[in-house]
Amino acid sequence: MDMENDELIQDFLEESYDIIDTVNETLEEMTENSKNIEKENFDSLFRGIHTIKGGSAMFSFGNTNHVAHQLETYLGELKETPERVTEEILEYIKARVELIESLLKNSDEAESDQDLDKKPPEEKAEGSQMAPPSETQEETVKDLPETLYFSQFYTDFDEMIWDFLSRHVAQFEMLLDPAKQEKVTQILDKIGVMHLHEEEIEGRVANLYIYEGDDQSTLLSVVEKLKSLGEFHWIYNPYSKQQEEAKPKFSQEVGEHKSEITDEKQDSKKETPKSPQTSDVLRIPLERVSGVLDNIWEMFLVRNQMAYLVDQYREKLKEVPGFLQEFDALDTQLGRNIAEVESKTMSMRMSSVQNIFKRMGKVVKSYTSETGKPIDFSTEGEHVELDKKVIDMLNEPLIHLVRNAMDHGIEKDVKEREKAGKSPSGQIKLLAQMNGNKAIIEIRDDGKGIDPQKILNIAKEKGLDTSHVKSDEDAVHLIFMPGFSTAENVSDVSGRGVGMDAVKHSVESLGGEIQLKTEQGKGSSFFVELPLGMSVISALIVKVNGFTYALNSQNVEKTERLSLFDLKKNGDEEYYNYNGKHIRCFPLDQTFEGRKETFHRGVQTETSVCVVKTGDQLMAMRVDDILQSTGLVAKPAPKNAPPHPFISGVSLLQSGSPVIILDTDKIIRELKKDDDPFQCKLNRGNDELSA
Amino acid sequence: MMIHFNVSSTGGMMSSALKDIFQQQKDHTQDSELEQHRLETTTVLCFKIRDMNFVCNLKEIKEILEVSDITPYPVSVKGHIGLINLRGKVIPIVCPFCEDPHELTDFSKEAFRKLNEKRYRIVVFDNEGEHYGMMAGQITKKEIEQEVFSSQSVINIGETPYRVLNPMDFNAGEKSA
Repeated sequence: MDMENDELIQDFLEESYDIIDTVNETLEEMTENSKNIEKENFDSLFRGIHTIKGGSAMFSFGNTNHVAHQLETYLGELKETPERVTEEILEYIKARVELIESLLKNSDEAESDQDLDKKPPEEKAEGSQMAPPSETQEETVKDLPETLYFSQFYTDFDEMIWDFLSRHVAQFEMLLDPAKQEKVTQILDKIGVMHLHEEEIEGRVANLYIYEGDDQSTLLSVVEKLKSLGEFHWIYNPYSKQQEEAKPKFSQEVGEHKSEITDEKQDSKKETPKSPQTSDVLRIPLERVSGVLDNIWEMFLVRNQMAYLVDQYREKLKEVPGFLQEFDALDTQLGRNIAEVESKTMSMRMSSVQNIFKRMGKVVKSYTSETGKPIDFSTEGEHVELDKKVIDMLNEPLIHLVRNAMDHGIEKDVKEREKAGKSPSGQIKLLAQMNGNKAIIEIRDDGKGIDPQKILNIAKEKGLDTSHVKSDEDAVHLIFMPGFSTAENVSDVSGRGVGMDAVKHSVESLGGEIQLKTEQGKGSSFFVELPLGMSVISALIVKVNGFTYALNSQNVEKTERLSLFDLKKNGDEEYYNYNGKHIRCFPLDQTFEGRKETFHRGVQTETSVCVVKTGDQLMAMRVDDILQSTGLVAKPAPKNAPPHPFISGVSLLQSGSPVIILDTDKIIRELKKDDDPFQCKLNRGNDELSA
Repeated sequence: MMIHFNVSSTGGMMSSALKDIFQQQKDHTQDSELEQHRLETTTVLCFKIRDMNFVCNLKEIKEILEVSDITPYPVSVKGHIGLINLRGKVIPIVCPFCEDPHELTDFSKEAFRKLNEKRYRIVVFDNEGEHYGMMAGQITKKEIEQEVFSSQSVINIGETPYRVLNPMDFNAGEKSA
């Protein structure tokens, strides 16, 4: 029962977050179009908040219910006079929606600085003022029962009737198919239950029943049996101190069956865009999708193994007329089908970064209104999709990076910016792009950049280990060390010294990494690289020093088998001629471990080169041989494997042997590190950075 | 229940029937004591990693495999050998205190065959739902007193000290067990 309840709560939360996204979009539209706000805008907001209110009551989210209840009432009043709505009022509504979202995320716990009873702003508009909800009204509203379909019906009662109902009469509602409604009503009628009201809701009928009798046991027994015929919900159960715990099983539909509360239900219905919580959306736990993906990948592996088996006997099978041709055709078809199913299943887990980017926009807006520092925010690449779990976990690190950019990056003094030839407003941009099997999110600011010398000095003052620092790049990366902070005053926004290392840790726990590029006076960019998740990749199988590895073909621009003498040498450095341009070529056999016999194989005259794109640069990697091109199911390295800079993931070859998928970006970065002839510049005299 | 038979009351003569009863009782008591003893022991696996003796509760072990087809890392990591395919799942193989796995094996089929001949095996553990294997040699199963096993970090079996291994202590980030 607990597990079922947990699932229902999870469904409710997911649905509520979707509603909040929709509500926020509506509020944005209303803000942009503030002179033309109509009643219908409020209908959309009202329905959304009403759904959250209902759900929060069901799951005993008291604080959320309280705030949603207040907001719902306020929206109900505002829609009567939409012309009175000001920007201040819209900001108030946005803040209340934000508060609801925060409460939901914190399991209904309110933080000390959150005002659950904050009153709306007084209206400054001419004409009749919109009075805030009166004390009496609030009390009456609060006393109304929690009904799923009959809020308006109850609202229309006067106090006396409600008072009587609440003290004497059992009340419940049932959502029934029309075919069953008559039967149920007849059964209830026989035991003295009165059919008080009904409302049609999307092809079904919501029925309100009341019972004044005192045959409690008969009522409860009949009601128990009737629950199987439709959806049942106690509105008021006088026989129990608490409302019945067995919640209706249709909790997902609560939001779908919008109560026709408004007076406009008789008006011609305008087509409003369907909200995500309608019945054509199915919510599936992520674990189930992961389970299906595991099965798909096993199918892929078996398919590969079948192909491998046939390959081993290919010569003999040539004697069977038509077999190989048919097998190859079926194998190709099977591969295509598996890839399609895999792609569609993967897409179920994926979600665009649009919403998270919008949230960052709100963070910036909130900061600029708190501090008065003018900052413009823009985005690019919102369509890029990531695994939903990754997006959820990315929220906190991104907030910190954006706040860091605002607090430490953008200059405080506008004149300082103007002197540097920059616009008076600071610029913060979020960009998302795909690169092979990774997504890269860049947080860019055009502020003052990071001073590596300052960072180095502060790190030393704090007693942090700086022995590994050999370059400006190493120095600025000290900000990711635990306990580092440059803020003279710890602000509310950032500078507690626990931020950047936590950001790094969060990103790495998602299987990603964070890089920093900065230029003093010009600005900084943080790059968050994240894997796109497990998937079938096209891979090159290569041999280095007798061992087999895989390269993601997406990163490979070109391959060539050539003589070692075709490579140009510059001292010990090798260069490959790529379309008339010499690019650096890194021999992996000098970096990777090898089988003993490979070290005694004599002079190698032939080699293979793979040209890979890393960032916006082309590099070449030299391997012993390229064996084949094949599809592989790429999985993350196992949890207990050692953290290794060269490993992007693992997979299984057709033969069943595990194979390591190399991370070409990281390999080249590592090789270039040891390769930099200027890496010693920080060691000139007393560890001072060169000017 | 022991039957106390007073030899003197019968003049020193014990009937065969009573003798049988007495013997049965003695056998039963011995069985009970044995049973009692059995309940207080734990089955453990003893093995060698390089020159060190280790012992581990048999319940911690998922399975024991022959050494075969290990894929090494591109650059060796102290204490880690490589990866194997365990029924479709890739799991890491560790060898605590191994400086360089290439000293242990060159990862050829011949090398794996020789390791098996030397009675090396891969012992598979479960660490919080994630499996990993450990290369170990001279694996034997023993029964030891539960009390002794559960309370010590080093125990003596015979006159040989064995370090108690807790698979949950394994952390891939550390370079040695």
